[in-house]
Amino acid sequence: MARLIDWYLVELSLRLNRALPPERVNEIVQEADAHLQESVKSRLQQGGEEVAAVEAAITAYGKPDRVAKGFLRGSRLTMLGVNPMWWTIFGSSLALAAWQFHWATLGGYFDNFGDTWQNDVALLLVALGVAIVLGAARRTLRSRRWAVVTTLALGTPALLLALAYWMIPAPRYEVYQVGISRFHIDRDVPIVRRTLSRLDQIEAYLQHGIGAFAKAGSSLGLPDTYSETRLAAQLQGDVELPPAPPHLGVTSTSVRGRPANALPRAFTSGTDIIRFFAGVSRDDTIYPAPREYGAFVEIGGNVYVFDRVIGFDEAKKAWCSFGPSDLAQVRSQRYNLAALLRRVDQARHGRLFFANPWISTQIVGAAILLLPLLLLADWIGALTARPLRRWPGRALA
Amino acid sequence: MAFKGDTKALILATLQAGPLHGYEVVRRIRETGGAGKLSEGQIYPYMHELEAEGMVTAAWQTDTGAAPRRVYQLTESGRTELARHKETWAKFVNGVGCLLATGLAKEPGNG
Repeated sequence: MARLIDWYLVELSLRLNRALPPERVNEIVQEADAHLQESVKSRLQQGGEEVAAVEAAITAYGKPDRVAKGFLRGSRLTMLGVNPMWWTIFGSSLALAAWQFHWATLGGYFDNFGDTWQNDVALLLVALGVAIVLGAARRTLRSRRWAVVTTLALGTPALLLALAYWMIPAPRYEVYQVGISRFHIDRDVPIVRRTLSRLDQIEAYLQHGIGAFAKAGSSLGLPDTYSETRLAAQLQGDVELPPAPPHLGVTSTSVRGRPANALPRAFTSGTDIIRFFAGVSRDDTIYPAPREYGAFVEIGGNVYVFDRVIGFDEAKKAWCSFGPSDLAQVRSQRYNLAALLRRVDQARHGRLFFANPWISTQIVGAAILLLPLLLLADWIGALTARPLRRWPGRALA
Repeated sequence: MAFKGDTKALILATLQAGPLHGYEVVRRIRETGGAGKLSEGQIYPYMHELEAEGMVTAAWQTDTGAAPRRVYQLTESGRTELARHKETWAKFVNGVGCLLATGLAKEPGNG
């Protein structure tokens, strides 16, 4: 009889130990022991076998999980002095908001950043939010799934509204041209204007280049700005050359037929060109040419529109094949940035919210993805807080 | 509502006659059926809450020759709270009584 009751008391204390101070657990267990002893004695006085009396007494006392829950409810457990419910809400909100960190960055341009440290921070914050939800459930041995669901259900429209106010988006989603923060207009609008100005130059250069290469039968028929032969030839001496056109950037895939070395982002002098093209002979002619993979415009950074190719025939082929599509892309991006500036003007004149289907889809999608993740963390937290053994109940006999 | 489904009120009422140890309190409450679906062990947290609120005091009794038992006793605050519950219950009982009496009077055959 003593063994069975002791077994029950151990199970009860295991469920209380993680959450209550030892002296409190001892008091509860001692009181439970006293009750069970009295209960068994009473049942034996009414007639009956000892084992049946013990089983009945323990069953009447209740499952350890339920009894422990009652004491934990009354104990007002906290996590770092705060009600775990608030931790659950905070953790869920943090995960939801952090997922949108790269949109909500105070950096200004709502850039998707690519593979940058901001995305790493966002992932860490999401993981932290999930861990907080798990910890809150584990601390009080109970699931708070409704707090998670409610937080995401209310937090998602709140975040949509917040970003609709915070962010002035470009009308069309273009890579690296998502929008401007309302709080960084004065800082970022000049950058947009500079990029627009560069796009104007590039558009003109592309337009003339398409025509020039279409007409030219050899490099002799090309204007100087479309060929770098003379730059290479003049470097036989120590003559310092004028800088290359500043709007011509270079990408990592720029050199066709030659291995790419460490790549400068833009050539500022003819010596840079020669240094860059290791193995290129001084008799070779180098031509800027539209990219096979399309124009790539980054606000505030470089504009990647051109590759460099060796040989007139290859250059002519690139200009004829990719020139028109790159020109269309540059015009599209210029239109998008101009429209962004008009929206900035609207914001300056009192418009509060700007809808953005692309961002809205991202937010809702993130909430849908995060919900099962947070619920899983909550479930694991509540589950792992309990002892792994299930109370056998009727299997006592 | 006082006493019906209010485990704390039932505990206070059980203790009004004098100090009792936990098992006895639980036994009497279970006999009234007022604890509903609560198991015996689930009543103890309510007793501990009353103790934390100052409505009852509890002390271990070790001089009976039997295993130590925790004995509960009402405090003045507990008596005041019990009186408030009794008043609420009396109003409820009177109200239901009037309704039932009115219903009985209007039934056919009751004149």
